[in-house]
Amino acid sequence: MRKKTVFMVCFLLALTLFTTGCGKEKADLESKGTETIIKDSLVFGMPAEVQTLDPAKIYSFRAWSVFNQIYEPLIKSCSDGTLEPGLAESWDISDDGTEVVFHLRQGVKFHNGETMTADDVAFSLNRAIESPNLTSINSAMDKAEIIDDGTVKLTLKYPFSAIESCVGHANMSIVNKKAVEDDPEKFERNPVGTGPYYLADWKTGDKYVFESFKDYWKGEAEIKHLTFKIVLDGNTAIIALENGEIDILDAPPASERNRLVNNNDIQYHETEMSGSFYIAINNQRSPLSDPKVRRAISYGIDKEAMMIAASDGVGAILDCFPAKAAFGYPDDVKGNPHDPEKAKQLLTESGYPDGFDISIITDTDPKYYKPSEVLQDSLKKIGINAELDVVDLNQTLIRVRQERDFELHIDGTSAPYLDCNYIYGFFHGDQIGKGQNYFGCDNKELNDLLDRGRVSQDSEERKTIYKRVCEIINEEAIAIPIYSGMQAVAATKDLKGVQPNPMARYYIYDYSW
Amino acid sequence: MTRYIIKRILAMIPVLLGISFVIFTIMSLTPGDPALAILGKDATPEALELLREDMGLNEHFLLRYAKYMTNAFRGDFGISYSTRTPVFDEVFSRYPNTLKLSFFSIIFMVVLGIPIGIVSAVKKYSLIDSISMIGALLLTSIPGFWLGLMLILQLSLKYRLLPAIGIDSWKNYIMPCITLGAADLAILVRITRSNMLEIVRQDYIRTARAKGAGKMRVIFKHTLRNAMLPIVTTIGLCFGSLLSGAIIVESVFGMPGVGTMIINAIRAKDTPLVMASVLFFTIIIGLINLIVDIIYAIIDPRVRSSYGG
Repeated sequence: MRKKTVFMVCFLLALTLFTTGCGKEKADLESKGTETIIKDSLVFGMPAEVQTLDPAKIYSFRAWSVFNQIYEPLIKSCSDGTLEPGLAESWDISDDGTEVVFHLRQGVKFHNGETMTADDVAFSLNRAIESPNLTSINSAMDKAEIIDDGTVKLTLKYPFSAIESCVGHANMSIVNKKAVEDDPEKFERNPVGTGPYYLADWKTGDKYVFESFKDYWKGEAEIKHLTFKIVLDGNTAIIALENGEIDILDAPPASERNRLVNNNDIQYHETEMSGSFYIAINNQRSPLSDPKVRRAISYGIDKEAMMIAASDGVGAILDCFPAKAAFGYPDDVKGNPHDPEKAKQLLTESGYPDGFDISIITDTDPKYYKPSEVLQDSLKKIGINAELDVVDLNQTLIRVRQERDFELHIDGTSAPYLDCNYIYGFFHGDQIGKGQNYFGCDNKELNDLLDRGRVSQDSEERKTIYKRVCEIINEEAIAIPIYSGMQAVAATKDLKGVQPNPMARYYIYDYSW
Repeated sequence: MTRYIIKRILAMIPVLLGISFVIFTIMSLTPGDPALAILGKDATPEALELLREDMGLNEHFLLRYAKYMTNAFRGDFGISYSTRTPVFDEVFSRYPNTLKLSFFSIIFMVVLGIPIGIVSAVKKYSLIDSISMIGALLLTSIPGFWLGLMLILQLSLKYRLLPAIGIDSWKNYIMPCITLGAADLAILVRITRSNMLEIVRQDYIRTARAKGAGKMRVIFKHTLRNAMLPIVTTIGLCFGSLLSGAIIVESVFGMPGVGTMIINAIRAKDTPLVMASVLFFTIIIGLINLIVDIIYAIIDPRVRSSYGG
């Protein structure tokens, strides 16, 4: 019996040693002599696969990070948010703001050896304009026409101040007309663009292999062999980064932030996401139709606690609804502070001294579910009895976005382009029932402001307009902004040129070892 | 025997029909909208309606089922709702990886599990027996994803012996196979041990010993062979659980298998992809069961004679 006990203790001890580790440190394993050969390959870790590489067919962060290597739009949106000429050398916007004429760069080659023509450009733009997947960026565009060999005209449905940002979107990239027309389905897995890399191999679920394009118009890339490796598990991805199996990792899990920041072999960059998480309120349903009740809720909530619950506290509290990076975001408008006493007072004034019953619809994704629990708790403290209505993601979308059968819901959105105009669809009365304005908000002053903001060409005027827009949203508590997440990127120390970007604009062409 | 095999294969057809109908019904009747899953939450109602029409989602579900099955019998499993690529290509580019992983795990289980079980039974209550029994208890209790991460931390990050992600070489399969096979290995060890111990008590073993048969002969020829039937059954059953366990292991080790694909497909209400994956699963499990039955016949003459061959 005693022998057995001694043995068991030893066994468990051995197991503990194995899992906690007290072996040789890795330091001496790395000194394999000085490497003089310059590395010319790069492995980029991405957290999900992109199912199609046709820019007109998919609107997603992950897709953009791949598109930016294969394709280019007419206007390039740089990592720091500025715009510079891309496949168009220059462009003119007509005085009334409804036409944009692009002067194309000459001699640009596609990966299949063809030279880019005005026909390719007009074809690509029209394809994107007709795509149902790209409504958040193509809604202002009407059609593209060829003027001559080197010029293409884009006509708009109405003057649109953010048109350059939209044209500079990765989804508006120029594709090879012949390759698409030959076999549109094949094109999804065999893209032909003008970018610095071409797709050499795609192992479904595993990786995309790219090679540098020798005839790239800016000159061949310094990093010749590029692999986009799909690693679904965040923890595994971090280990792969630490042991050098991948060189750069897009969107590492927020919970591992400290581990990466404290690792001297890793560079970690982050920037605020160009989007917001917010509490969506059904403005048409009693008692939420009373602005005072909505304001009471906005004073009653604890944004900080919600952010901690949702993202381990990685993020920035938002005062206004639009993304901070968007043009027109007012720095001097403050959100309603956390003040439960004031909230109770507002509820009493609106005739609900004892509160009321309400439901919060959410799916099970912790990003939404956890802050919903915090919201429920905060509301309880001001006397509102909130019930969590947990359904699956698809059902949430249908109930909230389509049927508008909800009361409170925590939601998130990201700016399709960096201009406050993108919130038009969420708050303009005309947009009720069209997908985005599911709050059911129809405020005359707000409608006028949004209309003016969309067409005005005067940037100072537009800033004033969006400042007022944000004030109204907060005063009326149409929707309550909570926080914006962080877009992070981690890479091995030696990689140069890495920049975080709110819209996954990683240009590997600009990187070097 | 051949007739029996053909009969068994034919018997799979009603099973497949039944399962396909159940899955199709569940996918159709559960709330959710594939069009919404594709276009995203900001989509306009017109775009959604257009896409639903385009994908034939507005038709009655029985009609859709009939159409689906007719095409499936012709080998056309449709276009995935979420990826818009042919389902057949999608599924078959991933299934080999999952099968390879499960197969290697089975080998790992058998090569380690049966000998350990035999040794444990032969050296009952010895130190080796205690080690293997405690080890088996631990392995069944450890969650797969945790074991996987620990292996990666130690073997990959600390000692840099094995790659953490991918499927590029045979080295990539070592840790996933250990992770996947661990729990079932433990079961196999216990089953082997208990069956061996049971058979050892039988009269014919005593007779064999009395007649002067060598120790090895008694263990392998007389005991193990008779203990094999439940062991083979266990291995067959394990294959099913390995296929489903692969879902977690694949995502931990970044392997492009079928597990993660099914999860995403279910979330996106991607009926064609779910159907093809489940049907394939069914066929595989059916075939494994058949193989197990054939192995029975090979091992046990009594079973063989009952097939009439």
